[in-house]
Amino acid sequence: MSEVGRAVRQNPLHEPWRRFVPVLWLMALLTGSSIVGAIYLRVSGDESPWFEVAVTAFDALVIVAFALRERALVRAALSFDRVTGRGWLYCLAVFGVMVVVVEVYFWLGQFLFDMIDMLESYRAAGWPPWSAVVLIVLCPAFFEELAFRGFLLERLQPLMGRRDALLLQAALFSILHLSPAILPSHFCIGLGLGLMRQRTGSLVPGMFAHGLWNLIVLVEEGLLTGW
Amino acid sequence: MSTSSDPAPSPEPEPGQEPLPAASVRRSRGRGHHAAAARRKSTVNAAKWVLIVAVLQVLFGLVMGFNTAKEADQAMQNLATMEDDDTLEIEGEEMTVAETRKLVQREKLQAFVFPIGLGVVFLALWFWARVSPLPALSSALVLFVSVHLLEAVVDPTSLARGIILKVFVIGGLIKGIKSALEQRAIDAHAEAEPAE
Repeated sequence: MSEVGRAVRQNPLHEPWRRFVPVLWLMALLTGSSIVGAIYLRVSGDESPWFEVAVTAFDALVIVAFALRERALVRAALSFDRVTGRGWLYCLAVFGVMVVVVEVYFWLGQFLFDMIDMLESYRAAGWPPWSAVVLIVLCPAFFEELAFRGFLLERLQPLMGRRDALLLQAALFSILHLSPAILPSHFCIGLGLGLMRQRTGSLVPGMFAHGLWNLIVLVEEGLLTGW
Repeated sequence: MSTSSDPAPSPEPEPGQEPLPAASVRRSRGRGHHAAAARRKSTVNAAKWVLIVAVLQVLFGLVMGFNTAKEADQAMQNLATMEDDDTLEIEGEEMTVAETRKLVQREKLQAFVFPIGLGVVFLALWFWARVSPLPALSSALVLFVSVHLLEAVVDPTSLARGIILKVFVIGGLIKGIKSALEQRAIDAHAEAEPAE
């Protein structure tokens, strides 16, 4: 490496940028997989759940690879022991507020946009309901928490402080869902899950809350569509 | 606008987190006012790009909304002579006239709400960037790129439209984020050692 190149690399002011770049990479890879998926759906018209399996598997690999970079912190955050009784109560209260806010938003939204039928492709392919539970409830609850409240929050907090890191991860979480209609609702969900993580120091309550929320949405849809 | 008003991160790193190279930050801080001024200018410019995107997005929303409204009114006129129970085939799907009317009305509303709503989000990000440039500019960058990639999925030719503006916006935002990160590192260190 040249003298100039070495000097640039060693510039201490570039250190925060070097720590921030993986955050952009993670977002680019996760958004990229969704975009590639959308292109594939548009070109092929294939709406098989296998496509969902492929995107979930790719995202899971990417997230685990990034989480390994913060493995000590993420492993500690996956522990149950960190959460006290008060912590669980706090999470329950945050979850309650989150559900009310998002349900009200979706109720208002029905006049403006159609809800996505998440179960349609599973029904059409004759897949059992538990497969939808695995792909729509369990996998996002685990891997999205690992990505946003695990890797991203751990990376962002030392760079910008707790409050800004909380807001930014919620913003990125809502943008990743790639739908302008659910941008506000998923920002609220990201905030709620981030607050749980910051308050308890653990990813576990957020994983439960995330999974429970996805299950509520899935059951609502299942009841409405008769599955 | 100064980034020094940002709430500085805790000087104590999280457990297991490497601290920023303090001694090196101290060396760089002494490089004078020029670098600090350049960093401030860069974050201010980046925030301006967010404002420009917000204004363009709102204008685009208004133009698109009025165009769609005109087309929707025309469609409603065409449907006026039909009965509610009559069926039509739209994009391979069979629909009643009543359902089609509802769909046309909804699309009319969507054409205004979504682009203008996105403009309002960018406007909110501009306000946030004046207080906390780093998270606001990062959100704006990811949102801007995602929106244009998503638009390209629907219409690939849209990627080339306004490409120069897109490159300037992305470049400006990245530069702004870099400057805000540098400023944060310096501010955090200055707060940790105020006597220096």
